[in-house]
Amino acid sequence: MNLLEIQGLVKKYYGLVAVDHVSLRIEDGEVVGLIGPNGSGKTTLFDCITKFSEPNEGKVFFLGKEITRQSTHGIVLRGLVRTFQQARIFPKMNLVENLLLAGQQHRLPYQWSNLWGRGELKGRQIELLHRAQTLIEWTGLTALKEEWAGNLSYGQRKLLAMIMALMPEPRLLLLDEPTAAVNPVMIEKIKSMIRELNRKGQTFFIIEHNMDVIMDLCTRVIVLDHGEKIAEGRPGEIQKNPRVIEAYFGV
Amino acid sequence: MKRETLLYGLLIAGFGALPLFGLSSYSLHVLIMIGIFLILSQSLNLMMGYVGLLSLACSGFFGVGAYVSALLSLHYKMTFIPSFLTAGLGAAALAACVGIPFLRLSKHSFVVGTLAFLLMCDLVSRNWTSVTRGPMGLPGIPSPRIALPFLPPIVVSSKEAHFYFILVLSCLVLYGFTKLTTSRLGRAFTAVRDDEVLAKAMGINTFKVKWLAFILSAFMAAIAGSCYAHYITFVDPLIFDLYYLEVALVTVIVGGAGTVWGVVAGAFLFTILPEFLRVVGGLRLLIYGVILFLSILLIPEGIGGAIRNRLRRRRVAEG
Repeated sequence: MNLLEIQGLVKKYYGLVAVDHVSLRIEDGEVVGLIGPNGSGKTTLFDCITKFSEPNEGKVFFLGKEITRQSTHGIVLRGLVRTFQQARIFPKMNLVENLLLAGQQHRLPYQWSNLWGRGELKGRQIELLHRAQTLIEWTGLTALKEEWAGNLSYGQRKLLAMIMALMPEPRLLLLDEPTAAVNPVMIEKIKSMIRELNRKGQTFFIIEHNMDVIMDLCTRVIVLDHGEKIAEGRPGEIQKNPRVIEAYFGV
Repeated sequence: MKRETLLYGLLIAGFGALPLFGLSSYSLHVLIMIGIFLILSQSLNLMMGYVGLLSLACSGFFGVGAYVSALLSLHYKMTFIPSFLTAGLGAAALAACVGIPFLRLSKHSFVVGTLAFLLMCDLVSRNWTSVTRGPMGLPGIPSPRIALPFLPPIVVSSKEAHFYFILVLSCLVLYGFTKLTTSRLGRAFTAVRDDEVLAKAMGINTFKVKWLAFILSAFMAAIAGSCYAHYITFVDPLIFDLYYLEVALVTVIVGGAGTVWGVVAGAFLFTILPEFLRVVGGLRLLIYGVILFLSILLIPEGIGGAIRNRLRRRRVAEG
């Protein structure tokens, strides 16, 4: 089934065309890589999908419905969640609080009964707390769970940002450079996490510069250069594609 | 939880017993002003400490509340509760309208926009003489007359009665405020404050959250203004003076933006302190300035922030 489909997406910044008529589709259960030289429009494409910036032309469909006119939060609530290149977390909350906030169902209206509730945990909240604790244990950050997120190392923040994106149980997760500026041990950990999640049926769309990660994880790779999609295919094929080699080395 | 309830109960009872010790009417006046400034400061705290937007419109809504309440009880002979509620809801409705353009402004422009709102309120109250009587003000606002069902109407006219009335009201506001800030909406407030982009990416409708906070903060400021008008019995354009804004700002900054009890402590400190400093005459403002300066230097996160950080450090150290 098609999870995400993009048709002729264009994003211009004045004279510069950052994303130039990109069309692609992502099926359920895939791990799709998005690569390209710096400034080729990868993050801009993510921004346009999640509506952090407004595309000039083109359409985006998610789960068969058009989301081009949706708001950012509306898209998140439909199950399309992203992370950021610079790991973003709430620094003055501890790990559990960060996760609980990420998992809150903001689609529910703010009921007054919630305001006057007795502060005890209710069904849904207990469920969320369990989920948060399972995720923290899974990433091996258990010892730090009471710590302020601002005190974590950069690699740990990346992990936290990733499990925060998992809290709302997304159908499709857009990861923007999950292993950038992270030490090799942590990279292996993030890779194994993505692999395990994918086995359970999680779909990923990953921007990455680290070719080892792309070759190991991805079932399909899309290459952007100057905003244009120049190649698409299996990782092995992409490596040999002359246009891709040209884009990267400029020969 | 049980211990906290007991503590709060004792605290409230302690304050409730204060007039029994024969306080002078001057001391009672100071206590009443603490209560009113407390509500006004919490309204600013909601915007500044929880949503992270410096809204100078708070003292504007304070004045709007005072004027609405005064006009309704003078011209339409409304009793206190309806005029009080209309003042709060009217200011909330006004905030709902002006909030939409204001909240589209980014941080610093928002501050300037809300300052413009405050100045416009001042201009309107000065020049719309057919309604507000301009600089002459509106004298003779009746004391609150609270008509509850099954009870004889209570007229809050003496200082003691006013003290109890403000005590009850500020307790209710504080209770509601703590409930609000620990609710799901309250957590959304802090998420928007800490990282608005991430909050959006987590599915929070950041505009709506900020808008709701703006409306709630206007409501709180307006009910404080309404009480103020009925207590002082007079309202004129000076209610939009920067003095009220300054007191609320100092209270929130030194008390600790983003903490409830820090701001309560701040309200006590900065209502009582200027009164004590009266004895030094002209030096008063200077000493006030030095105290402000020192507290910002020594406790940048305010009283509440400093205590919270210390408690936190101890809890982490204990594991």
